[in-house]
Amino acid sequence: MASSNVVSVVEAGTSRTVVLVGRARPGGGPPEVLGVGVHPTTGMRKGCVENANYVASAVRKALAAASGKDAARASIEDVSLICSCGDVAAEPLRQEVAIEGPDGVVDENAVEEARARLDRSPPPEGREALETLRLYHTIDDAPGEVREPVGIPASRLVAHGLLLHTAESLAMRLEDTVEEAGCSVNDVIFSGLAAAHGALTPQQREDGALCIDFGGGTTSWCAFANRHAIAAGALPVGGDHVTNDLLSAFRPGSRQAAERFKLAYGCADLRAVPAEGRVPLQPDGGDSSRTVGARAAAEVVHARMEELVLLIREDLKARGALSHLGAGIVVTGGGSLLRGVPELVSRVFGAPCQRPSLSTGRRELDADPALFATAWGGLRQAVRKDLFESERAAREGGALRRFFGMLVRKGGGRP
Amino acid sequence: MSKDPVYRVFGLGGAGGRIANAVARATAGRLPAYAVDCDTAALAELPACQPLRLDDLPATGAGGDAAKVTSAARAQSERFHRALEDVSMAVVVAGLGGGAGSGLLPVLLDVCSERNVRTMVFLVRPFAFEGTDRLRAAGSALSAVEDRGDLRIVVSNDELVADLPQGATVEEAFAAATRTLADGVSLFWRLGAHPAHLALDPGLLLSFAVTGRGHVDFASGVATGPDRLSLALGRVLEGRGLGLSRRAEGARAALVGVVGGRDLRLAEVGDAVRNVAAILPPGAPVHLSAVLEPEAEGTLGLVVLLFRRWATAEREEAIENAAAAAPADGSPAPRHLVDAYGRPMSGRFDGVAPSLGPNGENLDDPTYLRRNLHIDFD
Repeated sequence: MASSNVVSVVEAGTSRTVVLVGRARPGGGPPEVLGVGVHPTTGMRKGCVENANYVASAVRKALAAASGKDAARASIEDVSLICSCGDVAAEPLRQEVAIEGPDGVVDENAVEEARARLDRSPPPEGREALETLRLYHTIDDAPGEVREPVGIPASRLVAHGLLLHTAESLAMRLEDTVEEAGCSVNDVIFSGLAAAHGALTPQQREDGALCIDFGGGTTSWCAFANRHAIAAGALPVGGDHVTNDLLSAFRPGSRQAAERFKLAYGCADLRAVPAEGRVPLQPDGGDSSRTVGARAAAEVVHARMEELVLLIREDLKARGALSHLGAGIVVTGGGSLLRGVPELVSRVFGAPCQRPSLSTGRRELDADPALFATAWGGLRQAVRKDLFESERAAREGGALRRFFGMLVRKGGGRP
Repeated sequence: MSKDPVYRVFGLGGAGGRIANAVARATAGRLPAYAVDCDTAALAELPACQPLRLDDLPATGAGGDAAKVTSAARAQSERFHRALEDVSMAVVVAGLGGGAGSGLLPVLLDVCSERNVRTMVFLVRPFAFEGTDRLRAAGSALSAVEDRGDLRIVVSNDELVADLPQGATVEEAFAAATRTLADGVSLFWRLGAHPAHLALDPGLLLSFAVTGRGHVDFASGVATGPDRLSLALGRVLEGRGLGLSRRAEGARAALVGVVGGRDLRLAEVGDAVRNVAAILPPGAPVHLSAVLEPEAEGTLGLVVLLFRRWATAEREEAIENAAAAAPADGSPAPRHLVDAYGRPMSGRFDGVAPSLGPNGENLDDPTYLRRNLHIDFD
């Protein structure tokens, strides 16, 4: 961990790589962004590394762009990696610790032991743990969660968590690739969780909300309720699939042409597209004689996006999370900028849906909140974790100083 | 010893049974058909078929539970063995999305494989209006038989009735779907049923099942009058539902069958072949069969199959060897990305491990194709 409290996050996406460098503000609040680097990614498909050299090159260039300022340059060696790997699932965790001793109250050791057991929870066979989220505690069989269990009389302390896991070797390969770019990965953050931390307000996380991050190669999501992540996942399906569907349906000449057509005329909300009307297949001044029905184009896009959103809804339903989304849904990522996406999501979930707004203090981030919400959320998490680690180190350092001080006093070394 | 090949039609489930019954009627019983189902009442309405009722299942139907049907059918697979005695090629017709057709299909195809019976499998997806549950179930059933059977033709009810007028009733739509497919199956069988100058050699047809094994595109049309060839060609090549000209990219070979009366003109046969050859990639061979039937006087029936694969024996071995080479790390073997009609889905996801949905369908394939959505591309 960077001792200077300057931290860096690398969001290695299928379409682009984003690097943010930042640090905690002295008075608290959101972190201060010191550097921003963005570079198109090549060599990834569906969130997985296909060509490590290309991906490492994109990371290297984004890192170089972000380290323009001296303050940023110092910390760029250690990074937190934001990734979805295209295939992430979440399992709830529950670990119990028996409270022993004459007074029968929860102490710090019991809390630490419960947390340690959460961290040691193994992923399902054939899967690799991506991140273990420590959520909350309960005491004995009482239903309510306890924010600070230390000092409460109990016979059992129960720690609840969420284990995010992915297919074996996927995250490791991405980690290795990012390290090839010359930095050390000290932490991996799931992109769905990062996007939720970037896009959802504390009130939304309290009231219950969902964040869906529509990336180029993957789509990840994370639902919150009572401030905690309650469900999360990722599918290896993203905006590239929409482009591929349009390429297959209309043969505009190239993948790039299909991408431009998607951005210009793609619409996921059929109700926003009239039954009549035609649009050019090459909207940027190419062959204007080739046109397609605007409705047909929307039907292809709508079919893909609706299927994707329905799959997410099914997953959340299976995990009992649907009834907790009272504060609605926020959509992020490049795919969320497709026309009609919030309307489609709103209709499928029967809840309000919006794109995010950011207030980072950096104009380039706040101007494109959907594109930077994930990296911003990752930076907030990384800074918070850095602060936590620093405080713990300080506590442990203080305890050691007190211990050695006591030894010195007992030995009569002090006058 | 040389025997003529023996064909049988097997209609699985309600929709498959109705089509098999229509085929048996259209061929006046010369192409025998079995209707396989657990629904006693449905079987009773198929008088042209020999019924094969599955025991151990409710007589009122499978209730959409394909797994239960598969389990019962496996326990009674001996009955399929008996029905397939001496059969050279089974023409299997099944409607997907329900319980019986989807559940019976893998069992029958496995028995055919065990007995070395060649198969031509017509699979019918539900109408889009039947709802996403049935469409998903159909996708799942398709995945279950992806590597089973020889020639596999997948169509949707929406495609079969695409040429119906807008005001058609639901009953008319189902009847038209059954009729269109039954006409196609019987036309196809008639190509090899009569000795004629250009009849399809039955042995050659069986060899097609090996050489062209895999997804096949299929369309047929029957027309009368002075413009009958143009009309039939229009339906086969440019029809809104099954039109082949939109699917010809990547085709490796074609079979063109023409069925007519004694008034069938040589120029009509030649034009049919030329028009089909024109939509194929250069060099793709076209096989022709033309038969004359006295009762077909005044009509012209056209049936065309486009094969996605056309493998010689050596190439067959090479393909199978390559398919057997699964990744050593235990990850899912990358599958050939093809749409519901067998067209390779070249593009960004070709050759990578597929993104599988909860029902096993390949999410990399375009959604509009997997759902068989009727999109007006004109």
